[in-house]
Amino acid sequence: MSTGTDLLLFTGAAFVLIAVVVYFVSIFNGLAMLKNNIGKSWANIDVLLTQRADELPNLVSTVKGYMAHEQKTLQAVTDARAALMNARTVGEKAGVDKDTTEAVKTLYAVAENYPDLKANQSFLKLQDRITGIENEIADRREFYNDSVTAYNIRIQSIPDIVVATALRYRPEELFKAEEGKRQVVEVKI
Amino acid sequence: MESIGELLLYSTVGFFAGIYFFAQGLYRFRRKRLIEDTPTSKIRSIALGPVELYGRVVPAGGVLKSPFSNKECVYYKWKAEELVGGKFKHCVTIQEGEGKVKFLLKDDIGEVLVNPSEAEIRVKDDYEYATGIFHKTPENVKEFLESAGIDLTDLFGLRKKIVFSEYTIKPGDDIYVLGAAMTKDEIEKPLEDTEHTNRILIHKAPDMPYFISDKPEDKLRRSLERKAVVGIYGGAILSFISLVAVLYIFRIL
Repeated sequence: MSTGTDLLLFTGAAFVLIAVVVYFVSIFNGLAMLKNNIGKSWANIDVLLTQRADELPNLVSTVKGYMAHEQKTLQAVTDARAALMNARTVGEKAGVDKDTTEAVKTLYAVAENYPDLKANQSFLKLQDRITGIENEIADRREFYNDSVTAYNIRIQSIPDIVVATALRYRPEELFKAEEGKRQVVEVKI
Repeated sequence: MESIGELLLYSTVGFFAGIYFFAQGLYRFRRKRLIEDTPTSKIRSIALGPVELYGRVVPAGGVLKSPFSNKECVYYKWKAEELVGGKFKHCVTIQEGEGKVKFLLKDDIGEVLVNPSEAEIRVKDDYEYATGIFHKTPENVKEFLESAGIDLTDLFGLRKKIVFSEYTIKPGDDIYVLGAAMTKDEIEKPLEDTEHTNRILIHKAPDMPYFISDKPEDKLRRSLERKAVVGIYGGAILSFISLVAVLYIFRIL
């Protein structure tokens, strides 16, 4: 082969090699970024779940004096909080989170029957604070689930699967309550 | 082709232009992946770090006036290009400039302050004006050009063919932002105006792209994908063909 042909082959190979290297580097960086996003967004949810769990005893003690006959409602909130503190995995926390939200919603609904409680400033502040935290949890759950979905799709697509398998990346769990695993909070109003 | 010298010149330019387009294609491909891999955040609950947002522009205080169309905006860029060349006519940028002010980005449930000072901003032009023998230059354009020191006539007093373009982001525009959410304390350069009390703002973070576009994410991603494919394949092919031509000229092939 002539020098010219060699040079052409070398140039062609160089272009292909650079493109392949950049392609795989961007796959590696993309997967690493997605994995970090999942970790970070989960930490952001976890901190909010803890903040809400910390506010629940204050809520229960504020309403206890007014709602002495609503023991079941108050117990449901206390139980949900205890379950939240004991939950470990993403799935468990998701299930308990939903139960807690429902228990708190029921408590607010029951509180409508107590005009004195509705006028209590501490209760209103706590209600605002907990509702704010729940809204943030909802937003961040969406972000977390988007990150997990993007990551799970990536690690199962070609050619990302090659890099994901080499790095032993496994699918991540969505922050979503499984119907069968959820506790049913029954509250009589 | 008039001479071997000219062919050699074009082939050499073509070779390096191909490498440039190839590199641009790879850069766009990486940008496309980054956009795909970053989920869109709700503004109310953005977490510190890299964020992707989509929302409506609301002035955070002052607004600018765009130089040609005289519209209220939070960003403008203008460009003056002269049509030059004999056989191969092409546009050469003779002067350009831009203006940016901080603004709020708002979605259904929240708002955040955006400091666009170090952002790479891509918006489509919404004003274009060309000078020429039969074109009357609007007064505001004439005034602006005089202040910028751009002469519309050539040595013989004839009007030059100059195209003026203007790109703006106006209040009410929907924009896409890929940047970093930071606290005001994290920013090296303190903000001049502190009238807006939001704790978090969108800013340029080290080693992270900061990008603003008027296209929604999906259109932006598809546009980058197209440009990446054209750049990578087109650049490689252009370089390869140019190299073949150079080797042919030197009779190495």
